[in-house]
Amino acid sequence: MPEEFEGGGDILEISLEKIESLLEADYGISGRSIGLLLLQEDEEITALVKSREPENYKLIAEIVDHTKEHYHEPLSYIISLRRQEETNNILDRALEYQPAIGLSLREKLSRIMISSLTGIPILLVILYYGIYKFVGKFGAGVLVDFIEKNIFEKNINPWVNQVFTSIIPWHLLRELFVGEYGMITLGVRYAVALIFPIVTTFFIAFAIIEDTGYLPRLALLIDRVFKKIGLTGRAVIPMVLGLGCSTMATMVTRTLPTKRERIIATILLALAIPCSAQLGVILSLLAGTSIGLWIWAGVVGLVFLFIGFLSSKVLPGDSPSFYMEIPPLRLPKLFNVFIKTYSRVKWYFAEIFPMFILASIMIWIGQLTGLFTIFIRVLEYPVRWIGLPDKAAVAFLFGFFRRDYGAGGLYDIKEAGLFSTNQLVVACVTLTLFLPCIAQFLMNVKERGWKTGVAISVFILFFSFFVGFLLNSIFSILGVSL
Amino acid sequence: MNIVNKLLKGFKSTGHCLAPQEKSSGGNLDKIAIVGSPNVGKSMLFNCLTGTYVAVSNYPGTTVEVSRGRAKIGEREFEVVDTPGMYSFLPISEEERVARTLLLEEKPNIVIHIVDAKNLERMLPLTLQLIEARLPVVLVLNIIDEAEKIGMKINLGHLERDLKIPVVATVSTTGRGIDVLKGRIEEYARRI
Amino acid sequence: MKCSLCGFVFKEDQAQAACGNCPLMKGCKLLKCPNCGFETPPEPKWEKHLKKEGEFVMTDLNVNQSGKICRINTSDRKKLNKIMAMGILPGMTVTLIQKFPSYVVQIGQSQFAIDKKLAECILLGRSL
Repeated sequence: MPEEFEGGGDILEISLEKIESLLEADYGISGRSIGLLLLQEDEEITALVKSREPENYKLIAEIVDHTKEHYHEPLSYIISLRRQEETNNILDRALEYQPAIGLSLREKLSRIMISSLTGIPILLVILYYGIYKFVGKFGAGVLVDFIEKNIFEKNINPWVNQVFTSIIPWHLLRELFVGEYGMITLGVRYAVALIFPIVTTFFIAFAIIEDTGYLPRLALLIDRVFKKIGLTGRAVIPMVLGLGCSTMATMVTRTLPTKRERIIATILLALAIPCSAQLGVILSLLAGTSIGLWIWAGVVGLVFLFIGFLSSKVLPGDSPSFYMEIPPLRLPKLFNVFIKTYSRVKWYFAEIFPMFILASIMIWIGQLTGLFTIFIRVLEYPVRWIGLPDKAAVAFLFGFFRRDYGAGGLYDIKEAGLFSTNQLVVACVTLTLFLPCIAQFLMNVKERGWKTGVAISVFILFFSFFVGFLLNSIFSILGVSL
Repeated sequence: MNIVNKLLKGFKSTGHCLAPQEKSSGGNLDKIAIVGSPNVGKSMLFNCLTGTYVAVSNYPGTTVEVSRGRAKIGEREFEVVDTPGMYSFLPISEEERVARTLLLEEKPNIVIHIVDAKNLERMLPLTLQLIEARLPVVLVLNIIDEAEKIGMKINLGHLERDLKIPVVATVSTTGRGIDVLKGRIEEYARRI
Repeated sequence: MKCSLCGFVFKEDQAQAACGNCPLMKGCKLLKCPNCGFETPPEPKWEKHLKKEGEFVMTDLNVNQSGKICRINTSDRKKLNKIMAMGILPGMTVTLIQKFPSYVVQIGQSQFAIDKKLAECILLGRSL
């Protein structure tokens, strides 16, 4: 390497000076900078110079080629090296440091988080306390019950009903607001009593985990597995966010480097990642049977891996390389957690909430026109094929509009004692895999285009029932009765 | 189809394109751009200067939006822009490209390069690139407390002499050094 | 060199033969794989300096061992830029923290996780 430096040093500087003298236009930064970027073949700057001064550009391009020929290594490499040398010189004068011996407590904790032996158990612990206990039991259980019973049932519902009965004499129009699927009695109530506590607890948990710096460590643990499904460890953010709100997560897939990864992530988010609202209700639905819960988790997990694997084989392209900075573990600052949660919940209500009002309106129109009943009739067939009672068809239709409506619909059936445990598990699995909710569908279309968005939904529609059918058949064949 | 398209537009675009409207500020205000790699406390610094609170992300790739705000430093008001993470002037990701474009097109009056003090060795090359570009740089060595904790001693005077730009040490999460930074910014703004 | 499409390993003169009587031969710098016909530009000169004496790949390090980086061995510019952006440059000392499930390296006061593909590009020289 020294030989390259001695003889070649001048050529680079000389070329740079030549280019600098040729540049006439103003680019906002020094000619030397532009020259260096041109030598390193930066596409954007090259195009910029080409368009602004085409005659000079020809000469400049020649200089760049000539300089490249002179060196064995890429110019960007050599330039970086020289800059690092300059940095080291400066720091020799300004920086004093004797590295300590042994690992700090923080570092020791980090090491056990990232080792495969101890990292997985730690992840499971975090999932258990963070998701299951905090979001599931506390958020979806305690908080929801509290808001539902104390605030809505006691005070708001009766009051609203009264007000609307007196204002609106027409029964049909009243139904839009306070009927069985009314905007206020169902739409607003669900949003405030169900979604708000669950989503908020999720975002709090997520912000805490994020601020500790755990996510990059999780990413490196699962990179190998994710590579098998066409993604890399980086995809861990949208995937984990998807457990909060898949619509928001689909938006975050933008940060994935290749188109292929973005599509695969979108498919998996739409198919196999239950959002917190749905997750909360499903956890309470399956609360009675822990083996049912395990089967549900197992089947959804398998589908996730299997479809991810298939997509990676079908879609062209390779997995990009994985690299990620691992920041030091830090204690989360409460204020930060609060701000992040607040802005995310705010986004959620601003973006998703109108969708839900829309959903109520669409349901109302659907009922009015009889379209609703038609769709339910049609859905009853596949529902029967997977061994569920006809009533479940309503839950599935709702599932398209709002995931939690769908899960909530199942809840009513369970309460009425119309489900065997087998059926309950099949219903939960199928509903989890079922179509993305209307907000997520629109986001898919926005991010990936109409064709992909619709294709994903169509695939999911058939595949989810297929898995339900398979599961039900396996139960019958094995004679399993939970 | 039209209604649906309207709905789609309704989704807040957190895109990273600098829409023309966003660029024009309130006229004659000097502009401060905050540049640096992710995870060094850029957003926190933005908060400290502008007094407004933006979602602070600790994870590369999550802060795609370009945050803008106003800061009152001494007697002057400034417009402050928080750029997406930047490792080098030769961009790898979309975000880095956006950050660079911002510097080129918006011609900030002051560029604050904020670094993680204990990683100065890795981050100083970008400072050098910014200085080389003849941008008006102020170097901020943030998270200085972690550097001190591991026994690092950084001589700010030497750095200032070698780089010929103001250098300030801060801990943005506690506010330490922020007043000094504001003072240096004011001084710098008066000169240029 | 190795054909990036079918994996066949061949020499430059075999590639010339594969071009046959193509009228564009004079100005064409592309090498044609004798096995599948896929054409690629020739390997850059510097990649042929593969593994000089005393150099070894980072993936050969053991956990908690360090080495001084002497070269980044890749002709893929994107990969090169990614590695350099992390501050992984010749002259730096790198310590291997972990190999499985991902490579984790420490450079200066920072740690990075990288996969095998990137790790294999980092060549170290005998050191600490």
